[in-house]
Amino acid sequence: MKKQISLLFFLCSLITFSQNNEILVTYDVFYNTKKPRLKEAYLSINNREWSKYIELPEFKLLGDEKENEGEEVLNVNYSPSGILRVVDINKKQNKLSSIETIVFDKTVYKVNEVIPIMKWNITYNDEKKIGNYICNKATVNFRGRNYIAWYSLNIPVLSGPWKFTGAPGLILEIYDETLTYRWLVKKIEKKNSLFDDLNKKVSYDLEIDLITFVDKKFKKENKKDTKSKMETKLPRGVTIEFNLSNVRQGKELKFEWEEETKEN
Amino acid sequence: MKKIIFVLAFVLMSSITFANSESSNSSINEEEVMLKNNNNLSSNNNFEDQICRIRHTVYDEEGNWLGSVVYTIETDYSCKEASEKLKIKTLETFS
Repeated sequence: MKKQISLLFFLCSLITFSQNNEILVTYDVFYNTKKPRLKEAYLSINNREWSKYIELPEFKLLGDEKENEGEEVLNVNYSPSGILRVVDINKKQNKLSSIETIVFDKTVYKVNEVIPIMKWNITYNDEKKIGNYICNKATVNFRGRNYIAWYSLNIPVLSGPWKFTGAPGLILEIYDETLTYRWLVKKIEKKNSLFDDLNKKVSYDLEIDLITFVDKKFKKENKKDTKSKMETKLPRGVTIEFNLSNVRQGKELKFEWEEETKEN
Repeated sequence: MKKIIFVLAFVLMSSITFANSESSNSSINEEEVMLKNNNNLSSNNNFEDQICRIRHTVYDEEGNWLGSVVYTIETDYSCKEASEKLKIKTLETFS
């Protein structure tokens, strides 16, 4: 009897989510970085055509801040504030665009790329329950990080938070192997006006392609330019010394064309 | 005696409330990059042409440590005041 009920539930889920209904998934996003923080994000999915992920700028600091005594924390921004982080996936056009910023740069960029191909390994037998959903394990390497995902076949949409796409079911939890980045589902519901309201607030200054953006973000010469620009804007008698790390930080550490270059 | 206890209790409660509000303000920040002002500043009382070194530790919006920027400022102000003015200037320039 229990098996029959489960099967019925499974079939109902399939029917519900395949009938062109848009669903809204809320995630908690954990950044276990130098200053650990928790953010909230929404994923709106129309499986056949598109999905849109919006991460709110507000965050809650997690854990103790490791400040030295006698130091004062100043909340001064070196890049635009209050920006909604968006990832828009249009399957028909094979296009992914994301809203990005660069430190020491006032511009808000809309960065375009083709939808990245993610080679998911779904050969695992591991299962775990998240909320009412039985989830299966999958792994993927994406842009220099190894991720472990838990997806549910009960919600057969090929979507997940941020840029994750192509797993056999909705990704309810995903984290990288260093546990620096983690998304965990909080709520699944029908799409509502909350998302539309957020979507109206999305804005950017400049639209560019991913290669140009990566070049702007990571090229050493650009740091020198930034220093010169800053010096011109500061009062006389002020000198600046940059001690910026050359090690890439963030979710994306290595890009496809960089791997190709190395292989060649 | 009752009055004294009441006053003491009131003062204690007020300080707890204030301390809590302070901690919640500092734990939920506006967003984006934060600067840590390493108040490792020279702090003599004669402010004429003194040199202040102000270190900003730079984080990205995910809380990743990106490095630091050190400003050296010749100023007639105190280093604390110079630091505040620099903060305002930085805000104008970047956000």
